[in-house]
Amino acid sequence: MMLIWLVGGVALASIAFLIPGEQLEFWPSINAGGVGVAVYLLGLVAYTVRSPFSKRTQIITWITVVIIGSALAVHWTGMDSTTHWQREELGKISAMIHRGIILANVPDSLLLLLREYHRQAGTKKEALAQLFRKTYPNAVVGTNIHKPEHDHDSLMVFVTALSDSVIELTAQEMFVRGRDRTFRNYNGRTGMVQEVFALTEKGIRHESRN
Amino acid sequence: MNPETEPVNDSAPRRASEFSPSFLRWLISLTCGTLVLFFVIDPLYRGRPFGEIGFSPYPWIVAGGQVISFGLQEFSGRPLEVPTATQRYSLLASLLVGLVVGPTLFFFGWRMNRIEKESGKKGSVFRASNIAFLLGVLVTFTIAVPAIPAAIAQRMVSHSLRNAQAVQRSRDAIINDLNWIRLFAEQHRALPQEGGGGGGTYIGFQIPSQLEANAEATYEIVNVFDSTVVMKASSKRYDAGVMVTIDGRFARRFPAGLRDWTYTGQFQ
Repeated sequence: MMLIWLVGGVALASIAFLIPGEQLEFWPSINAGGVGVAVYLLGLVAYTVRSPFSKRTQIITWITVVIIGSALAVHWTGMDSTTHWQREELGKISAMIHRGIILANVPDSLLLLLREYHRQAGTKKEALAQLFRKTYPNAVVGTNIHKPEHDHDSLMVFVTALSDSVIELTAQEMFVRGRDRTFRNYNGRTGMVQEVFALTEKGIRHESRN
Repeated sequence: MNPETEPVNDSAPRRASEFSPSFLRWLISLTCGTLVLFFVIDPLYRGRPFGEIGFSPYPWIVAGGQVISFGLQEFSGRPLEVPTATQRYSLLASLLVGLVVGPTLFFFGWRMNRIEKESGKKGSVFRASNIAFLLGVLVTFTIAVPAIPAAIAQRMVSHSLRNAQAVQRSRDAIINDLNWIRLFAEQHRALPQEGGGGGGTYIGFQIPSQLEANAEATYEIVNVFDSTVVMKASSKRYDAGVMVTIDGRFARRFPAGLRDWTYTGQFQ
């Protein structure tokens, strides 16, 4: 009889485990398998803990099974929710750090340009685009002007508008997720952090796109 | 009347208890043995001596570890590692051994022992029911004994982690906002007076209305001088604040940076 129960339990838990199919995370499979295991264990305890066991033994066993089972369920579901929350938090921290890096790098070059533009003496001033080309002589719309500072530097800063009156820079990360996972980034990726800075002679306009 | 030879009868007035002193001695010894085994198996498991194949008494911890690993991979900008079939089936094997095979051996072994005792049979210590029972106890107790302390510890750790992280995230958000304000202060300094700027100084700078307050904090200027601005952020969520100076005293360093960060209250 034990063998039949063993085979039945293994079959039930395995089928439940395999129902969600091959997914990136283990959780869907392990949660489905856990439900199968819980059903099996309830049946197993009900079948094995009966006569000739005394009523007292049966009650104590059931109470113990319920307490241990509840503790395992709390640990199990707590692990599921906490680790997913931690993953989300890591994503948010990463996005915040990279937004900070963008903020510390991209607008500063535009501020320098703004100061240079307004410091020009006389009535005939060089246009913003001319001043910009002094620093980036080959830049055209679509050029990435960011030079990676280390191996994991995945920031890209594209020139998205370049005229005498406006210079627009679009900063985007290659691997850092932004707020909207469906957002289409400038370079064709989806869901990554993207910030836009536009410089005119009146100052910098900023737009956090994702 | 000998209870060992007494026929099975639920209505018997006196019955030998399964929780006899000898049973309890067995239970305590096996629990201690299980705990020792747990502390030996666990380091072995963490060391992954068998490569990808790993057995864990707690497969849900392995699943949690995978999620954290995904988070770290995303954090460092690496593509996610797709789990192999070996890893997936190792996890299934752990689930089956720990939660199906172990309890089945334990409960059937216990039942068979009880029935043998009731019927008065006296077999070898190495009889099938005894071996099944011992193996079952070993596996089941490895999971069951630490279950309650693990559940309590997990809740406590999760709670304190969430609290600490919430404070840290609020502080980071405020630092980001102060950096934004710095940007506007520098823009003010760069613009000529006739264009509404400070013409090389911070005089006249005010925090843009959209940055004066948000869900995290309220921001205000404490002092504005020609070449420095002192700003203060007061958290709305916690009894905490941040004070910082935009230091534009060195003309060569344009745009100026933030210095003299002071954290108060829970941000310390």
